[in-house]
Amino acid sequence: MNALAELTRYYDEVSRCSRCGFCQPTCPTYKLEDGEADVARGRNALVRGVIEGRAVLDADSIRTVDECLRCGACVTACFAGVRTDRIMAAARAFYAEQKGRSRLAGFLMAGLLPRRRLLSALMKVLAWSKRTGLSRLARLAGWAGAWGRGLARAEGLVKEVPTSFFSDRLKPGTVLPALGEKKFTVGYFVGCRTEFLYPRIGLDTVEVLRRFGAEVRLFADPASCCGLPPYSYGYSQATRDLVRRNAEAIVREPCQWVVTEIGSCYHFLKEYGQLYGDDPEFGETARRAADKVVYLADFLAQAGPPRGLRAAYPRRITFQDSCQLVHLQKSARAPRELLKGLEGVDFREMEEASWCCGGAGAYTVSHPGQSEPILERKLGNLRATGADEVVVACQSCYLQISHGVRSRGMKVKVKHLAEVMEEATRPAAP
Amino acid sequence: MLKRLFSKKKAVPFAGLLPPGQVLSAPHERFPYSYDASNWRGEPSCVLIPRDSAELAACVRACRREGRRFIARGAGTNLSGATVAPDGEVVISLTRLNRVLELDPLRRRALVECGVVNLDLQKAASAHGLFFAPDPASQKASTLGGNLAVNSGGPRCLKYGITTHHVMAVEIIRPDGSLAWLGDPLGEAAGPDLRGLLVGSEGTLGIISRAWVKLLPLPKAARTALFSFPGVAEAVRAVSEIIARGIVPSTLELMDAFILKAVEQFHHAGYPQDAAAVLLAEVEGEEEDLGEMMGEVLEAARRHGCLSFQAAEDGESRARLWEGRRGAHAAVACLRPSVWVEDGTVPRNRLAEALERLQEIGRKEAIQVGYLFHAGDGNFHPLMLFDDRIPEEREKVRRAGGEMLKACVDLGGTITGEHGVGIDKLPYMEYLHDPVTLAVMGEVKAVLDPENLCNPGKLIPPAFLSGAAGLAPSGRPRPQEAREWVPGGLAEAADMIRRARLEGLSVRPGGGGSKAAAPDTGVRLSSRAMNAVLDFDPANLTLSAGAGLGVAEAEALAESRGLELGFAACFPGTATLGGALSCSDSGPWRESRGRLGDSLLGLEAVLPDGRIVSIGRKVVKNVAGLDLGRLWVGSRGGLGLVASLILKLYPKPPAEDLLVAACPDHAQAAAGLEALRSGGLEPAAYCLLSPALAERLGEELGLRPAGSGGMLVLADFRGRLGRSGALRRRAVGALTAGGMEPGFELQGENRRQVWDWLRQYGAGPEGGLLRLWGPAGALREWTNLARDHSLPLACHLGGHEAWLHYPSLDSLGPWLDSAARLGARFSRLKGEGPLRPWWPAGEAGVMARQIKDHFDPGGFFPELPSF
Ligand SMILES: Cc1cc2nc3c(=O)[nH]c(=O)nc-3n(C[C@H](O)[C@H](O)[C@H](O)COP(=O)(O)OP(=O)(O)OC[C@H]3O[C@@H](n4cnc5c(N)ncnc54)[C@H](O)[C@@H]3O)c2cc1C
Ligand code: SF4
Ligand code: SF4
Repeated sequence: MNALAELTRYYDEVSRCSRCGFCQPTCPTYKLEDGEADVARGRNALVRGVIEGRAVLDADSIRTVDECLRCGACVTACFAGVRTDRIMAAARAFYAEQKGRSRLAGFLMAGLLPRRRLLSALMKVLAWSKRTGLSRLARLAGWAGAWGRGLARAEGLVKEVPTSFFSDRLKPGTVLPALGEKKFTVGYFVGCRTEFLYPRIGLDTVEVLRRFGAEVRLFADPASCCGLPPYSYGYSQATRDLVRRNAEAIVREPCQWVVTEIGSCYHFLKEYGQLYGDDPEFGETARRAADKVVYLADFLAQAGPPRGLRAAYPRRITFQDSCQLVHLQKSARAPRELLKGLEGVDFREMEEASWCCGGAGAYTVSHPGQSEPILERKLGNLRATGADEVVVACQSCYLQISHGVRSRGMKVKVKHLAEVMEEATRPAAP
Repeated sequence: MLKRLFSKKKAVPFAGLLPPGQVLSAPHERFPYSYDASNWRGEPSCVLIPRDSAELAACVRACRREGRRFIARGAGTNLSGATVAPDGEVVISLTRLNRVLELDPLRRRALVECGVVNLDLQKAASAHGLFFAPDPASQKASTLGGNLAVNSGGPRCLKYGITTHHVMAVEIIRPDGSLAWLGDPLGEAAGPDLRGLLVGSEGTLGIISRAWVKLLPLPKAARTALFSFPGVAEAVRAVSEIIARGIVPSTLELMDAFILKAVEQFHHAGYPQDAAAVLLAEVEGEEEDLGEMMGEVLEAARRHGCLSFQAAEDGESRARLWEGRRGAHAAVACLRPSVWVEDGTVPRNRLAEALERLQEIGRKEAIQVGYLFHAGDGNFHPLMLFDDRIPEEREKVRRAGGEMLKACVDLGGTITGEHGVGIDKLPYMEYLHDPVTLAVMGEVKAVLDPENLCNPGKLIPPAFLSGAAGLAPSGRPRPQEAREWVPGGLAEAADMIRRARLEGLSVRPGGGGSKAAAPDTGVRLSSRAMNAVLDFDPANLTLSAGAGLGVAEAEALAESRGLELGFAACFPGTATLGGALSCSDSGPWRESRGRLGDSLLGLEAVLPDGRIVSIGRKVVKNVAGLDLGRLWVGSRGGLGLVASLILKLYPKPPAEDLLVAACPDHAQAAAGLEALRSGGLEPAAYCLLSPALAERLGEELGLRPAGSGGMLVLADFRGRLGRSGALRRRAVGALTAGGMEPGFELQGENRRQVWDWLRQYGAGPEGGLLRLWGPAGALREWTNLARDHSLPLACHLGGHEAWLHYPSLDSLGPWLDSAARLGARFSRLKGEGPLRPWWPAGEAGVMARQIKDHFDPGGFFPELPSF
């Protein structure tokens, strides 16, 4: 199918935008400069213009599309619920198709992401270079151009990298028994950020699931990526390959649900049905997979703590929504209920908690100029809560807010929901 | 370097005008400014993004220098194509002028930049227990500049009125880049109400850069209920009955069955599905009152066949009831790719009829239409479903829309109640306005924007923009023996004015003669024979009458049906409606009830050249064109003779109560007002009488509270207080705590007598009456001066205004000095003789002068006040 025809599949969706402007007040990129090119209305108008031949997507105008966080805040604000997030992904794919792609990025998306072992080996090298200080040296030496700068920022964002990855600790295919009475069987989906950056959070997730009475199964041959990055950046084929592989694995796994603790992965797994439900080859599988996926907080809230499990957390905390969870999956309640239900907790709601922190996957690396002021606004709201800890629901926020807190010398601790739940339900030492 | 100097690169427009990033000229940067919320498109040649008033003025000057036409753009949420650039105009985007510069909780005013988003002002105000009444459904996104420029409405207009009622003063950048302040932050500037002309002008006369707006105390409680009806006609009748009962809910929103179904499909708000219409009603006020008010609403609904009703028990259920209304547009929008919203208004008691005709049009064109009504205002929105990608469908919807608006006009309504004209409604302007009136709009535009730089091609049909040809100079009036002419009607008045001009006679329009003596030369043109009641429509809450109708007669007529005027002019015994209008004599309740101009829905006037202008209708929301009527407000006959008026009426409050207290001095009075307000007791008027005035009141009405001999405070309450002993005791307590000695509680006739006396005070040929407004410090100083000079002064503390009765111009010296020193202003209500304002007339004066010179070259009619 040619690229324009592919984009034109979104003609109906984009035409539902009535240009009412109601997305303006909630769009984090709009609020930077109040510019019409930086809000869903402007973005949709551009795409519609492209489809109707009144506008072009070129090296200049793609900025409008690229600077979208795909956070979905506009979808929540929108009368008609226009899915600007999907339209932007389609526009990126259209542009990439037209202009050809960067070889390096192409290799990363199509060659690397699906190959966990290869990716793993490469990540080890990067991790080692970070620990030894080699990477800083490389940065000082002005190693490489634009990509180099991106990598340098990426490298700067991460404070430390783990010595071993998640699958080094818990091998693929492992089945972990429930602690106490077994009530559920769940599969656990390991996202790339859990695998390579935050294995601790993954281990906590598994532990909490087990304490809540679940037998936890790890996929035998995981892909280590849900497909969101290649989708966001317009790599349609790579996306489709990953989706298909994951969907099949999810459906195959003998369990009631597949749980993930990463807000953005969860959202994308849920999108499988919408995006690929019509696929002649695996549409049915994509839909079934999507139905089977549950977010950690929803699962825990539904399951409820087993009798005798004490959950206490006597701290002053606040919660940062995962954009995709709150705006695109409309799940704002469960995480708050869980947290507020903890004994001794002092929960402070944060202003604009549902606003993106500027992390947005690779956005923080590719668009530091936008990402930093968005983060600044977030940190201001965070300070105003007076909380000692901010709880997040997605590793992307974890990375971004940790970087923000660290670089501004703030005392606030960043915790993932899974970490908080693990600590809160940890049995007293005998 | 050399190469660059000599390279033939095209000069970048506006280079160096603004810092980088604030001038957008690349195609991909301009594209997003080519649309608004309407279906119109047009790409600007350049977008300028100023960040403060100074940059904005520089932008306007640069445009003028380069001969570029420009369009002010706020959030671009208008529904009329008002901000698109069909001819590649320059767009000046105002979203960065977004600061609330000052918020004064004591005086209840805010100074805002034009790009502040409506909801952001609401947030800032609510921190002080205040709110800004205009609440267009787009308030989350739309800017105050846009709200002002379109004169927006909102669900709460029914109770609080439209945007212009809440705007005190605007700063505009004129098309030549000069800056003018119009209006007064605290009171009413003299002269034609140019502030009112600018509000609603859709950016065609200049760009509003900043504004002083009025804030109100947040209502203490609200109650919401949903009523279902077997038909829209029944619901509409219920609305009329609610209003006839004197209840003014803050909201009466009506939805038809089509919308109900859509809402239920997408929002599950729990709206009844068997009904053909539902009415969402909300009442606001004192907790104690609400039950009773809602009871009346229910009673009215029952009488008109209400099928069922749901009352919101708590915040959550209230939110749910509202969710259906708020999401109505959304729900309908999900049914087809596009929705087009029309915006008609008819007299409120003709809604049912209007609906029938509109439905017929929808059926004929085979369009799916849902109807959403701001029923209390007679304003409604047909939501027409179509697909804007299909030209035939676009055509069909457009055709139907035009016919619907024509039907509204035929029923005495208008073509746009709140969305504005822009480009979209231009073809319908001629349904509504006669050619002379349209030409006058065009002339006002041409006078104030001679190069047609500001938002050209919008609001006024281009055919009527042929330029400010104006009158052939006809010399100046010659001094001639004084005489009086008394026309019996509009045509005769026009004849007389033409004749006077031919004969070189100066003309001074007059009413009852309560405020100005007859001139000693030329013609006194009296409206007193044009005193007919033309149309009294209690159900619609309107009165149309000849300008010569006496104020007292109009009041009596309204009162005969439990209604009242929106102003309380001085000297009601002799003053006429036209005279009160020409002096903008709003009366003691200005701060709570609004300015006189705010209850003016329309008028007919004869211009100094004999042409007849007719503007407005019997509807409370009407933004079809320039608000020309405002030109005659306060212009004291300088722009011709006002022949008739259409006035908005208000239900009389269920009870009224006047507390009279002895007060040692100004400080105590101010403290008393604070104590009342902080106790949640909001007086409708709060007036301190100087010893000289208090003395006379005591003598003539026998009201001399113990401990008096000093000053008196009149604290007037309209509403609940009059019926509640407990509240009254609280009010008395507050005054006592403030250091006053409350003496009388007056109701009914007794209360009325006091106000009538005060309004009538100073009638008669001698002396004069000056209105002064200023900050608290100024009021204090004037009060002290009045005590020291033993002059009668009534100081309206709540309204930042003082009325000074002076025996002769010489005696005014101390007040004028004080006003000048404190930056306060005045206007004269009664009296003769030269009285020069201390402040420079500035650009506002220049504008008034330009208008005056255009319509009255040679100066046959009186000078405009204060210029
Ligand atoms: C879904 C929806 C609901 C709406 N609901 C309502 C409603 O309930 N009531 C209502 O009245 N309207 C409503 N509107 C219409 C619109 O939102 C209002 O007219 C609003 O006031 C426009 O504000 P804006 O900032 O978007 O102005 P814009 O659309 O940017 O401009 C509107 C007009 O004002 C002029 N303008 C803007 N700023 C200035 C300035 N500073 N100085 C001079 N001229 C200026 C522009 O030139 C233009 O003519 C609605 C619109 C939508 C899309
Ligand atoms: S997805 Fe987020 S950043 Fe993108 S337009 Fe919507 S609100 Fe703005
Ligand atoms: S809120 Fe939705 S319909 Fe309105 S402009 Fe934004 S995307 Fe378009």
